[in-house]
Amino acid sequence: MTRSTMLCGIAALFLLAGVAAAGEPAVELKVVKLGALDEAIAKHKGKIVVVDFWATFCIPCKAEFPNLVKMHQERARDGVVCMSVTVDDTDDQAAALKFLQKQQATFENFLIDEPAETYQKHYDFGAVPLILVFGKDGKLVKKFNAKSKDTAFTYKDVRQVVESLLK
Amino acid sequence: MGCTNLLLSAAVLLAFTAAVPADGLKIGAPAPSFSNLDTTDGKTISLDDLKGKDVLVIVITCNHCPVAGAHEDRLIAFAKKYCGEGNKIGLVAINVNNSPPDRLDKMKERAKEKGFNFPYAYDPSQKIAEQLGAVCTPEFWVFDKGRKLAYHGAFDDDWKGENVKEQYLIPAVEALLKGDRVKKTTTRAVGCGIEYQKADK
Repeated sequence: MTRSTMLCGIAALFLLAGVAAAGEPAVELKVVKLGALDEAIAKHKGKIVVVDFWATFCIPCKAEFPNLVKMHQERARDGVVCMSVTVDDTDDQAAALKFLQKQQATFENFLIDEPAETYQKHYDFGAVPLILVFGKDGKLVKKFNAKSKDTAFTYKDVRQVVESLLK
Repeated sequence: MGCTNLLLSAAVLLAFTAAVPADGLKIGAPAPSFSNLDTTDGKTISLDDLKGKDVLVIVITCNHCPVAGAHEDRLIAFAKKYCGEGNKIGLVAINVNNSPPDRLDKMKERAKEKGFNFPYAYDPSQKIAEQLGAVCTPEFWVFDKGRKLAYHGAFDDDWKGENVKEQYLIPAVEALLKGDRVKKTTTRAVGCGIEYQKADK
C-alpha cells in the first residue's frame, strides 16, 4: 500500500468517525423551574413516562442510573419515555452533565432550579432516589421513594410496573 | 392527674403505633427511644444516657454521603461550642445505612480521621430512623428538656456550607436554652436518601 493510500484511508476513517459522532443524539441538560418540568412530563401524554430524580451527591442514584438508560434503549420504541431530573445546585450543572454524557443519557434531562422545599412538597418526597411512573393518561401511577423499610425499591420493581402498563 | 397520665400514655402510644406522618415526627412529639447502640469509641449509647441534658440534638447521618460529609466540620464546631463537659446540650449522630462503606468499622475510621467530638452510633435495625421519620442524611431533630420535638430539618440553608444565609439548628437550640419559643420549627433537609432495606421475610 502506498503512503498516500494509507493517508487517504486514515483521513476517511476520521471523517467517518466524525460523521458517526455527529449522527448520535446529543446528551443535554436543561435547567427548569417546576412549571416547565410538569409541562415536559405532561406533553408526553399517550405514552408511559418514567422520571428518575437523582443528584451527583447521590451514590445509589448514580449506581442505578444505567437501569434507566437500559429501559430507554429497550422500551423507547414501545412508547416508554425516560427522563432524568437532577436536584443538584446549578453550581453543579457541569458535573451533572458530565455524568449524563458518560451514561449516554440520550433522553430528556433536567436540572430543577428550585428550593428543596418547593420541589419536595410538589412531588411529595424527602430525598433522592425518587422515581415517578406516569401512565398513558398522564396521571401518576406509582411513586418509588424509600421512606421506610417497606418502601425500599429497586429498578426491578420499577420495571415491573412499566411492563404491566405496557400490556 | 390520672386522666392526664392516661391521655399522655394514649398520645405516646398513638405516636408509636400510628404511621409516621409524611413529613416525619410532628413538632411536640416525644423523642423515640433507642438503647445500646454501638458507638465508634467502643461503647454503647441509649436515649437515657442523655437525660441530664436540657436540649438533645439527634442527627441521622452516614459515612458515604457527600452531603453528610459536608456537614461534619459544622457538627464538630457545634459540639465544640455547645456540647462540652458541663454544657446543657447533648448531640448524638446515628447512622442506619448498612452497605459496606457505612458499617461500624468504616464509621470508626471516619470518626478517628475527623476527630469527631460527639458520639457516632450505629443502628443497623434502622428503627430509630423509621421512628423519627428520617428520609435523608443528614437530617436533624432538636428535642427540649421534656424530650418533645422542637425543631426538625436541615442544619442551615446551604448544604455545602459555603453560602449560608440563614442558620436553622443553632437558633432553635439557643431559643430553647433561653426558654424562648423556637421561631422556625421545620425546614426541609437536603441529602442522600436513607438506604432503607426491606425487612427480611
